[in-house]
Amino acid sequence: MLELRSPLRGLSGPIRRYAVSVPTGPWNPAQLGADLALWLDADDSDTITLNGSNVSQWDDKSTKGRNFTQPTASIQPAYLSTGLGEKPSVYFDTATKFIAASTASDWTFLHEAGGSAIFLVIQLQPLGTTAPRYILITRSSPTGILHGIRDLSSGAFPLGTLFENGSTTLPYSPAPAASTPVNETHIIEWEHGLARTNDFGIYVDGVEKANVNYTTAPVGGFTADAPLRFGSAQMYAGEMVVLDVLPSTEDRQKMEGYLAWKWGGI
Amino acid sequence: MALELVNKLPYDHPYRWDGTAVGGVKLWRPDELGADLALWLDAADASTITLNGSNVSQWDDKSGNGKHVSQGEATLQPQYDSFQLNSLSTISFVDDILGTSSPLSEVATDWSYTGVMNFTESNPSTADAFLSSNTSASGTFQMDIRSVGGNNALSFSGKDDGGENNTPTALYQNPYNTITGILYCSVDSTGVKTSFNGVQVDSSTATFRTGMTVPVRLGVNRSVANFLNANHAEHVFTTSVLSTEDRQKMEGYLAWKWGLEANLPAGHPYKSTPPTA
Repeated sequence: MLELRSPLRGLSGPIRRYAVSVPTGPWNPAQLGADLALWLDADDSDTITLNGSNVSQWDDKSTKGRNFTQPTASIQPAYLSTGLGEKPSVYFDTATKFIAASTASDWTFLHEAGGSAIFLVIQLQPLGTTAPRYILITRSSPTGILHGIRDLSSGAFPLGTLFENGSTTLPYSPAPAASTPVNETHIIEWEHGLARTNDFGIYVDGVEKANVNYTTAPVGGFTADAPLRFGSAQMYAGEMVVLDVLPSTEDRQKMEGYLAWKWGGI
Repeated sequence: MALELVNKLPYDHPYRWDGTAVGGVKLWRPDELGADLALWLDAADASTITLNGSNVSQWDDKSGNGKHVSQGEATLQPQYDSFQLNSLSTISFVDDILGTSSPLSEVATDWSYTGVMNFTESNPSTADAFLSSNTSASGTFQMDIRSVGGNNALSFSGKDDGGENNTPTALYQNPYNTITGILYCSVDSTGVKTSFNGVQVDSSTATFRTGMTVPVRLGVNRSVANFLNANHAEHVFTTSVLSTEDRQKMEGYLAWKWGLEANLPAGHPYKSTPPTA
């Protein structure tokens, strides 16, 4: 806490004293305050509950308490101490493994017009199938959002989104502009919101790779019917940060800078 | 791996070079040399490139001295971004020339040059050069390709203090056309020293301290007749010989930026991590 005294000492009247909170240390997602909807950090081993070498719970570091769990041992991901370079990771070695939040209604904001953003640090491995692998899902059936990746035989790995509102299934898009290589660590962001020029965007390593507008059905107006689920593809995961607003350019770049220096800096 | 994700951020991303605000560090760059920086051409910085279609009509100097290199004739303009190093753009010269409009007067008696090049010409003629500041009658400096002991060698040459043309140093032997690396040379009263990828490869006691009297040219030799086709990534001139510490920082900066860190020798202080400011 930094205490500042009024410079107006020579004037009549009471001298007011001000107390100003000054954040200390470098920027991190906690400084997004109430906009921070989820923060999973594999580099913070205190947030990982192990079942042997597997992850049974990954605690949310936001104030929302949206911990991710997987009670079934056979589909729990592994915790590796040096999975992403020299940093630890949560490793999904088959597409059957995933970890999930507990309450579907917590994730309605992912479908609302106000917008949202999901930042990931992951290293995908070859999928072995041309069918989409949905890394992030809030749908059982029929409504929800699915963010995923496909393995086209051409060697392209387009990222995309399937957006279902119960009556309209929007195409698996935008693709293939957002293609990202496998076997490399990347920062991937999915974001949506009507404040964007187009409703949906995908950024890879700080570069906008997709920017599309779904004109056949508007964003928003329905709720998720399943809590957010993470996994279902072979990958190493380092960190996931979810915002319940469309981030400003400044905040998006801070997040990219924070993740880049933490997971691929010095 | 160090900088794996940081290097993937866009060149002009606000945290690409200085991550101190978000938990990272500030990386060393040539502007840390301050007034010693005479010329800094950086092909990875798209904001410094003026295009004529896909060709480069001007490449701006980032030193602050305004020594931009340019070419008004379209047929002599090099191509931008047809070859990349570490996912960064370079400028491809094929019988092309970019030059300053005036001599690099900041470079006088003691100075250094550091650059990153990818050489592509498989069968060069003697005296093809990629960087020069000479005419056949006057001047001091040229980086060229010459026959040395039956092999082609990249060399530093020029007119020494006694007025004689001299070819004192060989930077690298055959096969030069596969070379991608960091070139360095220094000039002071003790002579000329040349390095390749952080290792000194030659030296001479001949001195070349008469200053540059004609504009710097990229892509061609001092007689403006012999072209050396190559991809140019970065060029830096300084107004003094770099200290060992600064030379190693320059090598480390260039290596980690252009993906050449594995080429630095064991024991180099920036072999495993890049230099910080």
